[in-house]
Amino acid sequence: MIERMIRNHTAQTIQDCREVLETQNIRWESDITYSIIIYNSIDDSYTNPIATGSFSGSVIKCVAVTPLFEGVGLAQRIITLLLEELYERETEHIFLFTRPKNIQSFRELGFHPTAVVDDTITLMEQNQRGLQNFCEGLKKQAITSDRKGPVSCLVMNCNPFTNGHRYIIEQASEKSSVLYVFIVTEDSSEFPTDVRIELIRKGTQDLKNVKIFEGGEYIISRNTFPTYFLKSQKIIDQAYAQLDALIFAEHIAPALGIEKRFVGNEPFCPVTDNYNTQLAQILPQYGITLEVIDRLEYEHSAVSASEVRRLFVQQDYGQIAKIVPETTLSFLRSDRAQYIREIIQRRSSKRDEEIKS
Amino acid sequence: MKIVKTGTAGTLESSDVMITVRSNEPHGIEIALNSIVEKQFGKQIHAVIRKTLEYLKVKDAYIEVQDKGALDCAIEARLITAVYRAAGIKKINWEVIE
Repeated sequence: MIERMIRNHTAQTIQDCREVLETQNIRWESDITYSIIIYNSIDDSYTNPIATGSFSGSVIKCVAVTPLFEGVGLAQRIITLLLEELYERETEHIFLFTRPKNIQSFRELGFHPTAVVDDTITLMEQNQRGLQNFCEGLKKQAITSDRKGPVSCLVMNCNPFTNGHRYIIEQASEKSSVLYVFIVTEDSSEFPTDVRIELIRKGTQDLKNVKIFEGGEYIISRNTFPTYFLKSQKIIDQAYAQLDALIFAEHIAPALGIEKRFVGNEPFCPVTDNYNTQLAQILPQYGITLEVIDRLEYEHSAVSASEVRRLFVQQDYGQIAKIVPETTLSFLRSDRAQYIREIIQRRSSKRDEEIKS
Repeated sequence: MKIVKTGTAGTLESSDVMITVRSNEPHGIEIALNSIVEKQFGKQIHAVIRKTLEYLKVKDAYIEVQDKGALDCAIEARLITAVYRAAGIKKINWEVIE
């Protein structure tokens, strides 16, 4: 048997992973950054793959052993090797998503269930106290105000911060005693997390009852949510919404005493609209109300961050000025922002290629 | 020794143990043990860990132990390595430990 560590996949190594995954009805995920494959060949060549495991960021995924080699400790070996690499990279929180029927197997490998959605999906974590520590950290940063109204919360991406976001935060803050805004941490956004947070902070400085938090790993991003073992898009969307709502309602909201969650309405995006519907069903069970805020319009269409990104590539600052706050505009004009334009251009040309092919 | 980051040592293979050491100031020593022989040797494993941490003068640490039936000497060695890694010290002075 021979173990192979893969930092850069080739068509052949991906094929080898797929061969193992298919024996367990698991799909390959394209955002994987590191994999292990164990081969069972007589001449120590890279033929006959029998076990594999991977990760993307801090999420372990696509772990499988072919049926013939189950029960001989290959899964343990794979997880050990993945953990070693993750620790090498100083990954503080290590997660995996799996079917609830696998909870016991992963428990034996040192993982603990953080949230379980019926028989669909469970989030497991290597640090038993990860979520608890996160919530205690939030508690320490809680704020108070003299205003009347509920303690509320918003979850946003703000890629980048526009007048539309400002409007929603303003509306929500007026109706609340304290408003906590969680910014989704994700590397897949064009504007990096620290830049997005900086722009939101600058653009909401005058609102004294608003506190901005980085969402961290427990406000799960849709883009990093693994889907490889779920059958259909409908199940995926449902599982994502339920898991996200569960962690929020059971852990994050109680830590900060949150009584209300605001969301922007979504007339054009069915996925987010469906997500809002799920939230409206789950949150009241935990005594949290949901309120929908209509989006700000400019010239008869909702102000959108994707429109700002499009105009930013064209360097049309005149148009941008009409839909973003001064603070965001001056950032977009600065030298610091220029590398982000390159990121957006590269992504959109890649997307065009994919559409063509 | 002061724990400054997360350190780990060992494997999940049979007869070995994987130990993760995390900072835990100011809550003292806390041990989360998960062992296949917990019923038989749980107390003994706790004792080995406490004793080793005392030797190393670790006052605050959260220790996660995933034990697959390791012998005391293996547990001790894995723990020492994990603590040194968590303390950010590269060179281990094994003689002092003796």
